[in-house]
Amino acid sequence: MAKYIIKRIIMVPILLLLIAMLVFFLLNLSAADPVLMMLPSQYTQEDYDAMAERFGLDEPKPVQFVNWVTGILKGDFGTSYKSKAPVSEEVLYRVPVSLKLALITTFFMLLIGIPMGVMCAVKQYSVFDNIVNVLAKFLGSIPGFWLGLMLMLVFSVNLKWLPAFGMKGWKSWILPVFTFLLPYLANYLRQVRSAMLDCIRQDYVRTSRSKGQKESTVIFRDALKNALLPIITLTGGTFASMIGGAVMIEQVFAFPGIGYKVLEGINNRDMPTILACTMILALFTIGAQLVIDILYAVVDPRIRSSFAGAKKGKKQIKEAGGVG
Amino acid sequence: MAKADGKGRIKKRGQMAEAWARMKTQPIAVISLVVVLLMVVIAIFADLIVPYSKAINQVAADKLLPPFTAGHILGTDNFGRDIFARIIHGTRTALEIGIISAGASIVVSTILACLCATIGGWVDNIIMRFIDVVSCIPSLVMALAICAALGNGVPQLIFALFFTGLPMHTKMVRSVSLGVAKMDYEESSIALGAKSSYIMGRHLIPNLASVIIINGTAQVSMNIMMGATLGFVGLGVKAPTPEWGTMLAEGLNYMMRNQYMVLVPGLVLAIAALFINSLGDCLRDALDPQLKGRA
Amino acid sequence: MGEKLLEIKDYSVRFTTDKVISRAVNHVDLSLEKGEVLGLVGETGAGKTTTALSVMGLLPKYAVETEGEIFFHGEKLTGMKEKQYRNIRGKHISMIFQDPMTSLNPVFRVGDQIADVIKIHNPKMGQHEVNEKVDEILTMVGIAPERKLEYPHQFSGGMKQRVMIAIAIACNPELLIADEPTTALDVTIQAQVIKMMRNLQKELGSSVILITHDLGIVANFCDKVAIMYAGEIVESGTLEDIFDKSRSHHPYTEGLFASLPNITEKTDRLVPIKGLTPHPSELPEGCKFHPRCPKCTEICTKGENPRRCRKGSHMVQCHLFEEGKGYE
Repeated sequence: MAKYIIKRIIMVPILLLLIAMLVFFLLNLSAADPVLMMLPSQYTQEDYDAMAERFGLDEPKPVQFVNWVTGILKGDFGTSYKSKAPVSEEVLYRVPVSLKLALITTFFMLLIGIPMGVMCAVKQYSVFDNIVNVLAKFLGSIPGFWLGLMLMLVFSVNLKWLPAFGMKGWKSWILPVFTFLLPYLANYLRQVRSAMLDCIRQDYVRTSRSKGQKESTVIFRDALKNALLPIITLTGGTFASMIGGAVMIEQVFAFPGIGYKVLEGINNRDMPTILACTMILALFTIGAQLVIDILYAVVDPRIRSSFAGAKKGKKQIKEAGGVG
Repeated sequence: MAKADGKGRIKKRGQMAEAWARMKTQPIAVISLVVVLLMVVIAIFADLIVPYSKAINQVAADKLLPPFTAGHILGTDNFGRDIFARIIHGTRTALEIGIISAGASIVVSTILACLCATIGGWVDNIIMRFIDVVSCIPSLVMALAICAALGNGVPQLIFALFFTGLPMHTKMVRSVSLGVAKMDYEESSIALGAKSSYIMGRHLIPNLASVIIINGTAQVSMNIMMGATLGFVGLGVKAPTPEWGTMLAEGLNYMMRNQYMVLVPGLVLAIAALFINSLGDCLRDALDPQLKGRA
Repeated sequence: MGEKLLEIKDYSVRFTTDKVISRAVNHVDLSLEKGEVLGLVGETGAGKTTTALSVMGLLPKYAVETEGEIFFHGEKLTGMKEKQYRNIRGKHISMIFQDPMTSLNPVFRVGDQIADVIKIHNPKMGQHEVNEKVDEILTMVGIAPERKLEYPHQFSGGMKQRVMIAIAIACNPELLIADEPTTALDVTIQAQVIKMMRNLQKELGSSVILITHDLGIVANFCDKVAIMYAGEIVESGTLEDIFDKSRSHHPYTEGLFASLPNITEKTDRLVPIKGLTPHPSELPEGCKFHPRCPKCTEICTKGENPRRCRKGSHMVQCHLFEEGKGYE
């Protein structure tokens, strides 16, 4: 188990390096010269060279890449083309805001999604199930940013109950979290329902009933613990896609998170900022994946024991001897 | 009842006909199909419905007209362009982007996945590690970054969506292919000395048909949505091209004066996504009846 | 003989899926006395498992219609309140399922799965006592008690079925329903499991309904036999009644025996029953077996079911038999 986790953790930096290469490559597909973008419309060759040197843009691309990566290792994400300030200063303090947004939303998603999904599965084809299903299908199809605009229109512009954008205390969180939550919750709920339906139909659920077990225990213990495996994967996947989805929500509500920053960077063609934000978002995704894998092993004894191979082999031998 | 289906969908000719027969009995499926077909028809004959010029011609005198004014069913935007015309031609843009990019990722990822499954070894390893790396970057962020690097324009947007769509399909198609590869008839044709290209064409692709159709529909709706998202933040298509996301973003500044500029494109986008998703669900139910009612 | 433990009276089950009605069980009458072992024999899809699940009250809740009554100890099980039924399940009636591979919950320890059933029916029992009981039961089914901390995937198929049996017998039920308990197992393991079940049955004095399509197991284990075909019991009687070759039987029973190899009588070849079991949604008119019956006559193809003809403990439902006659 520990060995498995260590193995996974060792993989993280390698993966990050590959991601860095890919992102660096993709962003350099651009034909536009960043140096030109930073210079005023009237400039001399000296100005150009000075600017290029200042940002290390005079070096060949591979050297630039190496410099960038070694910089990151020292905590230096480069200098913003736009503000000419260190990117790390502008980006890092935004991480907690985005993380908090994603975590709060995930919390509510779990809190509402799992019980509702289970209820739908247990009462499959009931009125409740049908209504929730149709609603979920509808909400799941609505583009999040548009939903955000509509909610803003109703609650901020017309009713004036909640602030429309920015960060002004806890009330500022309500609309972004709600907007963020609804489409994800809708899809999550449907997936929980389908995971649960799979488990409810299993033979071991019937076995549990045949013991005289209470129906609530059958559902919430015997079936749900098995459904947790797919649910964990789902939650992780949803969390990972939320990291990307947060970009839009932060944009709509002018929420000072990483996503807002990455869009700002993109609009300014500010490569160091985009690179830094992308790397941080990728790190989140990898982190979520790592947590899922570990949780998976914790919940499922079959996966747990496949990491303790030697022990299992011994037992099978014992068993073979014991039967005869 | 039990149609000798087992794990693999061995019967391949009857499969589509059977799925169609199953779909016909579902009202939701028929409605979704009709709506989606209608969208396709609108996209193809957009010019006959309303001339393109109406969608881009700026008439200063007709700024921000409310809906149902003479000549403008849905009113006009801040440049005096007809919103209805922009919605109709936006359908064409959306479908063009959605279908081409999704189609490209399906084709490429199916080929990649089949290579993984049939050749295996280092080919499989390299492709899958690459896919792992790509899937670590949130797809929206990746699309944003590619669009930012390549600049605005439909082809650039299509490339960005194509690229971000790759990982999911490749993973899914690969796992299905591996399942097929383990099946007996696959083994028997290897035993008979069939070439791997033959195996790919003869066994893999027919068996993948339902996965491809289901994923393809989902991907089209996802890409339309993401295209609009990119348009909303000012990336993607170039300025005068009618596109739903861009329309939404423009409407944002005039939300107080003409709410329809925000309402209409968003609603159209939501309806489009809803019916394509719904069609996808129905297709999945029809192609894979064992899964029915689960999701 | 002894008192009636289980009585099934004119019991039918119908499933409705996609507007197609399947008549899975049709007018079944069965009775079982204390300590008796009944073999319920028939092909796949004959309605054996549905009958068993009906006794357990575990039929799916939707799209199912039932008719007739089931009595256990004179108490009516059909229509009983779920809460009351739960006290019977696992304690008075328990069931061993067909596939041990999927019938155990993969994420709980084997010991806990056995302890569950003890705790449900003995809520006041202390943890220590429960543990002792689990050890005792595991020993009874031939599993080392230390293994209770393991998970199902660490057990082989035969061992899993022993765990299933342990769960079923944990509360000394009066009635044990074993639904093809050995079908999923290797032949050598089958014999072990059956032998163990027989010993346990003698030790505990439970009644058993053994569902199987293996006549060999029936001959080894059962006191009474009921042959099921297309949701009906076509022949029933004591073991002697059914296995007595000198008597005449229902053509289906004869077919079943003819399709078995026999080393004492040299037969040239095995005679399979031609055709397939009809699907419960497309049962034929008249005698359900007539399309496959070698002795089919005009009368068999039409009208109602044949009458049930009895002679002592032996019952046959066939037009070839008349009351008292036909049993040469």
